[in-house]
Amino acid sequence: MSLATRISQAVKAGDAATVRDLLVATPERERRSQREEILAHTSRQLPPRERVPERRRAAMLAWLATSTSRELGGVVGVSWAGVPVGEAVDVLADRPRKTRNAILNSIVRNEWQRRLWPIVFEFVRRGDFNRPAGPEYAMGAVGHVVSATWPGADGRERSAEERVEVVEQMCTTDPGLFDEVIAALAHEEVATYVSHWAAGILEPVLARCGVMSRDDTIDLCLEGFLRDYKPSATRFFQRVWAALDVSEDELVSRVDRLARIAATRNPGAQWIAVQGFLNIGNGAVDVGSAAAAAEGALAGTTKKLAMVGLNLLARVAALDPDRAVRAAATGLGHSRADVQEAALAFLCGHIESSVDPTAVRTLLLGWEGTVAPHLQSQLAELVGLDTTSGRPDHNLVELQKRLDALDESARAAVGLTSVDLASPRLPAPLDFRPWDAPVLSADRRIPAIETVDELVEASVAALAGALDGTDVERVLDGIARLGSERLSKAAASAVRAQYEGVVAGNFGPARTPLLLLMRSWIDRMAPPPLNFYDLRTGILGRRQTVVGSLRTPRQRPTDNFVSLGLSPYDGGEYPANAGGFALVRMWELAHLVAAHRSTLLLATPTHAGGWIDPMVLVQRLERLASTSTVPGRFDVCQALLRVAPRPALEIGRRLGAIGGDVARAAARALGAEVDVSDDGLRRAAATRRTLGSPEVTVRVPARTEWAQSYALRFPRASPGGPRRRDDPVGLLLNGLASPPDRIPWWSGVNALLAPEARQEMSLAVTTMPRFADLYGAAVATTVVFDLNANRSTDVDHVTLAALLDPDVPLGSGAHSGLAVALIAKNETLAAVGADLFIDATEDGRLDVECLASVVVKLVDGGAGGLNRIAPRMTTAAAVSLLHADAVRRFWQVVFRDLATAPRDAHAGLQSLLQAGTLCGRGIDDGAARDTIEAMAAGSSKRAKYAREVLALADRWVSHRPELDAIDGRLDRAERWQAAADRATR
Amino acid sequence: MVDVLYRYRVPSAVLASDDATSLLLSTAGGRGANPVFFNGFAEDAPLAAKALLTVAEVARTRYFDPGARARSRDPVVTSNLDVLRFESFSGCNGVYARFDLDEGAVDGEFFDWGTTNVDMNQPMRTALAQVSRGEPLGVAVGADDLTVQTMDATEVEKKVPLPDRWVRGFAEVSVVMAGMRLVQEFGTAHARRILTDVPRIAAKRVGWITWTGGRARLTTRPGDDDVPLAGPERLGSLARVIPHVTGLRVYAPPAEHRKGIGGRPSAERMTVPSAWELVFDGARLALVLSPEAYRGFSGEGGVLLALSQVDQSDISAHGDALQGQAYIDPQPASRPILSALGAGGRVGFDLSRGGFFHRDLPFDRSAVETLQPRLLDARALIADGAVTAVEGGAEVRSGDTIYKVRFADEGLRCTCAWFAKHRGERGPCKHALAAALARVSTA
Repeated sequence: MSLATRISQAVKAGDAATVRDLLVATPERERRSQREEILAHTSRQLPPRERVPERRRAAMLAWLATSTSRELGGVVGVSWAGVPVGEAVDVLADRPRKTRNAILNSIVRNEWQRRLWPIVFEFVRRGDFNRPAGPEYAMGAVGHVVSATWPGADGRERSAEERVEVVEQMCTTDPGLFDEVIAALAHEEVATYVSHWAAGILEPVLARCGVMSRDDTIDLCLEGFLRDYKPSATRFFQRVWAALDVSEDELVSRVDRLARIAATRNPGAQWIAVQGFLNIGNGAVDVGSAAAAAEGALAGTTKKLAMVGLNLLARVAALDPDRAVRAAATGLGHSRADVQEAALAFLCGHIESSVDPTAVRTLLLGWEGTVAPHLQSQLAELVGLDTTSGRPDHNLVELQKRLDALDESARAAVGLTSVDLASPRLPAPLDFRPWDAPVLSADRRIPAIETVDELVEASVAALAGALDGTDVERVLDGIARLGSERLSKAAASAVRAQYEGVVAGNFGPARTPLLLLMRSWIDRMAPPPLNFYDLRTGILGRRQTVVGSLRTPRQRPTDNFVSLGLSPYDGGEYPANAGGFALVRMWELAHLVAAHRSTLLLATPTHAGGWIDPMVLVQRLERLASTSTVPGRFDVCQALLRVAPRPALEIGRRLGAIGGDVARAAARALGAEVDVSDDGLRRAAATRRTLGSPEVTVRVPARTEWAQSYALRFPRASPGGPRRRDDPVGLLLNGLASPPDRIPWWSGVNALLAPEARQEMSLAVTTMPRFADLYGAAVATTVVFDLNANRSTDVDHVTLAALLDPDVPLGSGAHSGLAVALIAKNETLAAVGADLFIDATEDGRLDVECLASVVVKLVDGGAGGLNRIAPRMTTAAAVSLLHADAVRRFWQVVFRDLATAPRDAHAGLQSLLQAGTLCGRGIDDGAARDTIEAMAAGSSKRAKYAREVLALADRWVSHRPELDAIDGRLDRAERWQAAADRATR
Repeated sequence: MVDVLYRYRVPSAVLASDDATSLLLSTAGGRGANPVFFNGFAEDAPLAAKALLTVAEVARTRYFDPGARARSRDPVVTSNLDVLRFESFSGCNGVYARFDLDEGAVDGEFFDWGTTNVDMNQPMRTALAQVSRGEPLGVAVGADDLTVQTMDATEVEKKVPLPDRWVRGFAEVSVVMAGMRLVQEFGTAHARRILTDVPRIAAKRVGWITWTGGRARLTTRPGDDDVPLAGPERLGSLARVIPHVTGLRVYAPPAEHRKGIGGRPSAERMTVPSAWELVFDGARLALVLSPEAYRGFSGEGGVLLALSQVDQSDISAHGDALQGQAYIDPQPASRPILSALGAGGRVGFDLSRGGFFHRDLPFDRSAVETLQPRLLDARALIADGAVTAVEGGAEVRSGDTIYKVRFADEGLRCTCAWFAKHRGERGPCKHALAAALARVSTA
């Protein structure tokens, strides 16, 4: 009977021992020559085919004994766990060294099975294989021990105690294995692994000191701290240390290592060192080491560690005040104001005890610019700096000249009708209508795409999602005007390549309207019908449907839209959001382009921000009328929302000459009293007629338990209600008032897919320049539901960034969005919010009362905390005295109106303290003072800051914030006046 | 992929004696098998130790995808006879670190110039982490025969694969740095605050760092002196050395906007790399960050056009003249050649001195000296006859698609998806390069 047959029989019998015996007795040459036959007989017994464990083990043993490393690695789909270790070692032991070592190295490198590590270990133990130096072998050791704690053959999950017992048993019965595990911890990768993925397995074993002595275990931890590991890799050692509860005597004998640990950059290890020093009695600790340890603690970023460091310095000061003071100076650079404060207090208390106080003061010079504002004067006093010389004041003569140079209307527009520069007052927040600003100035003009080359380049970029909204509109306009021209081979292939690349790839649904349009353009294919889902979400159907429809072969373009009427869409629902609006507009255009027709789009913005020059609108209408072309309904509605009011008799006359409902709607939108028969167009025009921003509502989700809400009310231009199919604009605007479970205002695109939606989002914010305030409301309604979200895919900041334009007025909607942004976790959104706060303070748009009132509602309702907004406000306060005063006033309103003092009130009080210190003004609101006084009792941090805030006294004699504000208004007035002058020339 | 075999005579170690602690940095490769560059003392032992640990940390870190294990590649050290420079490059190709130790910060003898690898092993790092104030630290770069005999240690061999992209990125950082200018400078106190604050900004997207009241904050409306910063946590590697900082200098390329579309300028600023140079007494530690955390340095656009415009013989001639210079004046006329040498790993750039220095990366640079993939592709397009001149530009056939390249006033433009997405931020695409090269050769 051949070897292969006998092995096969043994394998089928599940007899690994016999397999081993047969192979051990067989020389390598014969094993190799019989290999093919052996494998052919036993392949069915390999896992996962074979379910009987004994047969699997026997089969794997046969393969291991007859194959090379490469051959074993080529076996796909087999899990080699379960190979009997003892038998495997036996069959490998007398294989040629090169073959065996290759297999062992493969195991170490985890090329095909890490769980065979015990086989490698056995050869290392015997001295037949050099212990690999790298972390892979070490990881195998720890992995072997950890995997022993996994559920056994019965599948039962082991309890924590059982896991510990298993490991302890393994390590006790095999000291060599335990040594490998301990040696493995010298690798950073292994230390990281046990710190994160094997918590609760090894630490209890070590802490029990059953396998390793207590002294050795303590030393092991100290060695772990002494290595240059990343902080996350030492958590294992920290847990063991904590479990050991090391005594003072044990620390004393290791004080030199504590000193070295304190010099590392690991906060967890530093904590242990500094606490260790504190726990050791005086005399046992070298003063120099203690001071160095404390200094290292103060140089970190953790407040707790820094404070403990200061405690240690207090002991050092008793022995060597000079060293203590020098070390304490490091605390002035800490990122936490309370640490700086404690360090400063220490310095004030000990500086005179130092050997050379003057030298120490010199050392402290320079820090006064970086410590928290409320500490600057104290530090300056300590080092002997004169802080009375402030920043240069405004030149009042120059300011007066500038005021006098403005005409009355310019001054009125910016709220500077009566100004007394000698005792100036802070102007009221700017209140202007969007069209009061020079939105049609030459510098805001948007050029049209002129050539097909430019159009192709822009289209490719739009498909890539690389454009902003204005450029997308230019692409639509370009396709409308130039799309009927025959494309060159190069042009068509470039757009097609990008189109096909996007469709074949993982495109986000927000891109579907553009894909639809591009296909119509390059393939002359009519777009598919739109359905309810499309309109509700603003995207073209579900992904499968989209891909399917976009990949269908060429069809003849439909003849139904050779001539478009005002209602090309006659389906069911109308779009309820800006995304849907854009979708239908592109769909209208796609029909035209598919039919080789060109047109003029009425809705193409002429100026930045989405505005249309009414004269240009008139010209477009005239051209369409001259060719008897009827514009798309949604194109018209969008144009009516974008047209900037610029009353002129000529415009009215020319619109009258054009005639028809569209021209009459445009005239009505510009203020003329004309009748419009089409209900939808009449309502679209009506929204323009009602001036002033609507009061904005932020709806509160039920789960936040607060029921207050703002109400989103519109001018009553849609008496029929928002769901009527002939009122697309009403639907669009009322979409903002959707309850939380409805589609967000701009699109139904899932936030997770939003990276591609950045372009579409920036298109959406050009939809309603007259109601830009609602963009802020949109941010508020979206973000308030999850203030702790911090996804890189979120694009709400794009919406908020639209408000950075200084010529966009900020109503209550904008302030709601700003408040939510400042209190949200998302740092990008918060950065936009901070920029908006800073800019709007400078240019006069910010209404501190309005902003603070929203924050109060959010905090009172439990939706957000002061501790997140406070540091952002503190940073803004540092920009200028005007900003510091704005922050001061903000906090006054917050504390005045909060129903109850929140737990993190100290954060707001600290920010108020810093802002007040910066601008030199205290609390000047009686109700706010009362609230803060009520918090001032006790020894809590809140009470301490409350007292300091109350102690703020007005020390500022100049009117810098007021003059800064006036200066900002003058800048605006001059810019507006210059633009108006250019326009009339 | 380049496989490098580091063969050190002995492992690097920190050797303790009664009166001093000595750091022996074992060397391998370069102008000799195991060169010896320096022997002496570091004036500020803790600083030297921590800075070296920082360089070592960058070498073994993947900042993007930190869960993935980074293959550690040994740092390199360059001796320019009056300065020792320790350089490393992260596994994610996005962070470059260099610690320059001037002769004023050391007390000893420079023996030779050159560049070599240094062994950074765990025991040595553990010992370095414990160096504290008050102890003098001997520093030996290279092990002489006596030291080898004394140590009685075995030779260390490490076989490390170096991806082509990593090798190219390491080399090209110098070219990127040469294009930077100083945007901000801070004294001790502000430097320490900024270096503590910035890494903790949890921005998920690229933002700009602006300076308000001596502190750094994120902004979305950058001014010309604001620095784009993605992955600010990458600066966290500098935590060790912050207590020693006496100043901070921040560098970035000049502010530029992405190319606009169809005659409308773009308001979008280009994301660019930034360099953060920490200043100490007699030493500097610079960390150069790629424009985005997931994006490495290899192939950044400025290199390609420079490489395409320089003659190989000029590069060789200038390369032969390199003899360990610590400062090579970047005259405008020689800039393209120096950039080409930089891209070939033959020179580095010293931000503080504003000039190049001779440094031959001590591994097979054929991957570096070989043309950039994009440049190779461009030349292949030309060789295939895929470039056809048309008015105002060229048509470039690539597969079944024909791309139109325009020679516009603001630079090369293309209708390919790559250009559409990046719009000049990463330099010209292969089609634009091919068109530009074809035009030059025709002219």
